[in-house]
Parts: sequence; structure tokens; C-alpha cells
Amino acid sequence: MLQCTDLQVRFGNGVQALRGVTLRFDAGITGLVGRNGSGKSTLMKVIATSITPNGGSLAWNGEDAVRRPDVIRGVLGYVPQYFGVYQNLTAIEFLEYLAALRRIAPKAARARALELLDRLGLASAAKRRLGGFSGGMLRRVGIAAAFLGDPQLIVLDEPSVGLDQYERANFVALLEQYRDRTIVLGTHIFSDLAQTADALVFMDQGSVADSVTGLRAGAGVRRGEPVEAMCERFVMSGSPT
Amino acid sequence: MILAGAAAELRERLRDRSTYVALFVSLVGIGLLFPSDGSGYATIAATGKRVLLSSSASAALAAVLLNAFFSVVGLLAVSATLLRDTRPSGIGESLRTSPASNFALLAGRWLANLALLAGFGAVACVLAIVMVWPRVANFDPVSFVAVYALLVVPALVILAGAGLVFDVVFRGSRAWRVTAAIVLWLIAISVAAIPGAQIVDPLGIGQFEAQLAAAGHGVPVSFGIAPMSANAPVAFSLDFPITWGLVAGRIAAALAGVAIALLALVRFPRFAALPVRADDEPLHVDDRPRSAATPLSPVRLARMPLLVSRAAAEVRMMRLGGVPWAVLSLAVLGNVLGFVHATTFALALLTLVPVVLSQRIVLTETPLGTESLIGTLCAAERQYVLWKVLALGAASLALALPYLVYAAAADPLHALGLVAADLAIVTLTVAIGYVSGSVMPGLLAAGLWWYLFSFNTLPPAIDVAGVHAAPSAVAIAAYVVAALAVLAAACTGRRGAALASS
Repeated sequence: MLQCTDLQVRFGNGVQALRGVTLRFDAGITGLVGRNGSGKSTLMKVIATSITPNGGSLAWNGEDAVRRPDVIRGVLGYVPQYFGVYQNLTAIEFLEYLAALRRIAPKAARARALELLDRLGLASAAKRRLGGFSGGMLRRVGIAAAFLGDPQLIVLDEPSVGLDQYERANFVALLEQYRDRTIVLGTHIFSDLAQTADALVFMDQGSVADSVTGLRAGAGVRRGEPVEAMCERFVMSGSPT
Repeated sequence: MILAGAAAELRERLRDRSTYVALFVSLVGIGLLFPSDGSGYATIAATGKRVLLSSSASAALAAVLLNAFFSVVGLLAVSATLLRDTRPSGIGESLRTSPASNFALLAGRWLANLALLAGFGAVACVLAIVMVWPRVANFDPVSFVAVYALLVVPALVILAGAGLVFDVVFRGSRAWRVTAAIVLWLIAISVAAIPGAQIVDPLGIGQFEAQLAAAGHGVPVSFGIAPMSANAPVAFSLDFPITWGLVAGRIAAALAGVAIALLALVRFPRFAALPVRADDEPLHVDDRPRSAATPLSPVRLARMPLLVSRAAAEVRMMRLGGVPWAVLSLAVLGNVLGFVHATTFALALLTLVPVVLSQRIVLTETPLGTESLIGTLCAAERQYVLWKVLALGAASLALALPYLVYAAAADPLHALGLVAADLAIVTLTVAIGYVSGSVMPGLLAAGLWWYLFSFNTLPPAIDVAGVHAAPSAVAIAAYVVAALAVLAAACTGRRGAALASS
């Protein structure tokens, strides 16, 4: 369980990206919804320990992850908004490298990387250099990197941008397999949320504007409104209801 | 984990073309230091006479050049990893959120630095042997390798550690990195040049000169490329003995290199604290309406400011950063310290800089780059080539400006020859890249061009820049015409498949 309490992030240019965000993420898929600049990516960076918050606390299973980011890094699978790669490495070499950083044994790492590449439709490109990959292919490599090992906390920032319908279905199927983990999914593709999300957090100007839980059980759908319509109305009007 | 990191780092760099450009430049430089007996220049002269080098002295000379060259280029090549990773296109975010410790990440990088530099040193050694063997009587490869390794290996250990320190200290700043590298280079060269101070010369740059001074027995000996009569007599033969003092000094230097690396490993701040750099500068977008006006129409002339701003955008795309500072400073220092002949250095700037800049342009031609957008903004295909030629030519001429002024004051024809050479090579590089759709043929052409000028028996008709003799007006005119012809051919050609597909 991940607990964010009164998280504050202020960048060097004076922008207040997070204004006292308090949230609890339980096992399951939580979707982050909001306009560009609403603080979704910043929140995910804080959760992934890429950014240290200026204030507030972040705890993973009760342990302080601000002071000891390793408590999250050891269990984390993360697709950042801009997933950078070593352009001259092949897909399999790059994933093996990231797996080594996660202390996965070489043989297991190779097998797991090949399995994920195959599952994400990249088996034939496994030995091609990443510099020649398209944007959608790089996103899939990023997704594969996030699912290396056995992540307990998975943070996905716009993971399905550039994926076609077929690859998005593969991605959704992969998410389903990890539903028992804590997954934070930030995306503007609301159909992904409609298919997968257990809960939604609506963000606006660095704050939590609203939240909905129990989506899969149907409890959170207000007035029988589909999730996609709810998300779309929030982005357009600033209110999910 | 450390070895995995080192392997990935090494693979990434070994597959990068710029790595081989740096290696090629160093090898050409070494080749320049070993003129044949009948050459029109010498690198070591004693009152107008030649100095014959033994196997060990040849090794020392090759090692000195490699160490001096790598103390800037090698250092910068192995110290940009954090800068690269903390860009949005870099993998900094993946690294900082991984459970790997900072020590493991940096130790892997240090090993990669060391392996890369050692590989360079080994390749340079082999090729130096190939070049030197026919020119040294009774060549002894064992003696050559022993002296070479003694001087080079400790220097590379220091540079590998220094690269790590540079990464840690100047993590986000290319300008500071380059400036600091040049300052350190200046200090190293200065220390090496102080008579008797070679004992504290960790990079081993001054060891050869010390031996040269001792062997000269009071005869004035000059170290640097200087004109030489083809049948000049021999002043003396130079050897480079291995002494216990030298061995002890080199071991101490290697240990110092390890200590420097350890300092960086221990003192490194949290990787997570590194900033993610804003990499993409605002792209200049020309949204003014374009017409099919002829190039010299009044409408076209009235838009000159627009043309200038397009050229400026091209130069900005090269992301020169600290490169001009580095090249200019090296040029000035090289001249002041008399290590290289001014004309040779100017030619190097005018031909090799476009090669390096081409690498930067390639970066913008990737799918993640802006080149396809720029291409769509060009009213005609020919504009694409023209901007590249203008931007590259202007940049390389600007970098070599001190030498052009110097050359123009002494001999206007000489300066004109340098400009003609620049026009020719810039046009050739861009045109070949444009037509082929790949930067590699252009790089090879530029490299071969430069190497051609380092040949000792260069025919005067080709020697447009006057490296070995006075340039002729006919040669200059021929180069200008050839450059314009290549430009015209490229402008009417098709853009290459690779560029179009990207």
C-alpha cells in the first residue's frame, strides 16, 4: 500500500506542481486523470522516487520512501513520460542492462526480457538497435522494462501513447495479469482506464479535485455514466460529475 | 551489476560513430609526427638537421601525442555520461529509480571509461607500429610496446578517473566541463614543459621532451612541425631508456588515477538529485508565406533577414555548446606552445570541425529530431543543402578565424587557400550526406581529405592550403570551382532514402 500525505513539489522556476496531495493507493489499478500540467506526471515522478518532494510524506507499506527511496526502488516498475534509451544498444541488450540494475540474474533476465518482448510484439526486433525504433516500439520497450523482475508497485506515465489498437490490447492484457499489484496509470487514453481502472483520481492544478473508487465493482460509476465520459467531462469542464 | 553497467556503457560508446572520429583524429595526428627521411617537414629538428628516432623514442613520441590529445578529447569523451543521461532522451530517470547504488552505477562507468581509453590506446599502438616500422632502422617492437605502455597506461587510468570526477562535478554543464578540461590541459602542458619538472608530470607529456633535451647536449632542439630540407643531414640519434625513476613515477601516476576515481565514487551525491535537463531549444519556425521567386529576385533579396535567421537556426541546431571554446583554446594554445604548425592546425579546424558538426546534425535527423520538420519548411530541396553548407561553413570559418587573420596578414593567398579548402570540404561533406542519405560517407570523405593533406609527398597542385608549400592561385580557383560544382550537383539531386524515411 502506498500512502502520499500532503505532498508538495515546487520547481526551481517557481511553478508549484503539487499542492498538498494526499492519496492512498491500494492493490489494483488507479488511473490519474487531468489536463496537461495538472500534476499527474509530477506525482508519478515523486512516487517513482525520481523527484524528491519539497514537503509531505510518501510511505510504502508504512516505510518512509522520501528518506529511504530504496524501499520503493526495489519493488518498482516505472515507465516515465519520456523513456530514454541507449540508442546503440539492441532491445534485448538494453533490457538485460536494466535487469542487471534490478539485480536479476543474467539467465533469468534474458528469458524474462525475451518473454516480454514477445508478448508486446517486439520479438522480431529484439536484436535491432533502439536508435532505429519508432516511437510506439520504444514505448513498448519501456513497458517491458517496467515489468522486468517482479514489481509490486508499477507506475505508468502515458504508457500506451503511440500504440495501435492491437498493441494496446496486449498492454491491457499485461496489466490484467498484474492487477494484484499497486498500479498507478496516468493516461489521456480513457478507453484504457475504462477497461482496467479500479479507481480514478482527478487532478487539477497540482491538487486532487475528486476521486472515484470501486469502478470494477460498479460502485463508483455515478448515475451509470461510463468511465470514458466521466474522464472526458473532467478534462473539458474541470468536474467529473 | 557493475560489470553489466560497464558492458552496456562500453557497447553504447563503441557503437557511436563519434568514438571512431576521435580515434581517427588521434591516429592521423600520430601519423603526422613520423615524417619519412625525405619529407619536407620534421617534427624534431636540431639547428636545421633531422633527429633520428630509435624504437623506444618513437614509442615515447607516439605516447606523448596520444596523452596530450586524450587529456582533452579523451577526457571529454568519457565525462559526458551524466549530461547525456539527464536529458529527456536519456535514461537518467530509469537509472535514478533503479535499486542500483550510485557506487555501482559510477563504478561501471569508470570501468567503461578505462576499457574505452585502453582500447583506443591499444589500437593507436598497433597502428603507430605499422607506421613507424618502415621508418626506423632495426625496429624493435618489444621496446616500442614497453615504452608506449609505460607512458600511456597510467595516463589513461588518470583520465578515466578524471572523467568520472568531471561527471560528478560538472554534471549538467558542458561549458564548464570543456573549460575545466582546457585549463587542466594547460596546466599539464605547462608542467611538462618546465625543465626538470617531469617527475610531477602524471600524464607523461613531458617525458619525451626531457629525454630530448638531455640527448641534445646543448644543441638547440625544436619539438614541433617545422619545414625541413629533403636532404637535411642527421644531427643525432635519439633513444628513450627506461629507468627505475621513470617506472616508479609511472606507477605513482597510475595509483593517483585510481585514487581520483575512488574520490569520485565516494563523494558522489545522490543520483536522484540530478536535474533532468530541458534539452530541446525552441525551434525556429518560419511561418511566413513562401513564393516561387527566383533566387535573385527582389522578393528574395528583401527576405535576407529571414535567410539569416534560417542559417542561425541551423547553427543553433548543431548545439555547439563548448566546442568553439575548446577548439579555439586548443588552437591558440597549440600555436603558442609551438606543438603544431599553424597551417596544419588551421586545416584541421577547417576540415575536421565540419566532420564533428556533421555528427551533431545527424542527431537532429533521427526520428526524435527536428530535421524532418526543418525539411518540410524548406521551399525547395536545394535550400536544404544550401543551409547546411552555409551553416557548417560559417561555423568552421568562425572557429578558424584567428588563424585566417594570422595567415591573411602574412600571406593573403595562403588565407584564401584555407577558405577555399573549407568551402570544398564542407560542400563535399554535406553534399555526399545529402545525396546518400547517410552521414557516414561524408565523414569518411572528410577524414580521407584531411589525411591526404598529412601525406609528406603531397603534390603542390593539390596542396591548396599550403601545408607543405606555398599555395598556387590556380589550385585555389580549381578548388572553388570544384566546390561549386559539387554544390550544384547536390542541389539538383534527390534527398537520400534514409533521411526521407526518418
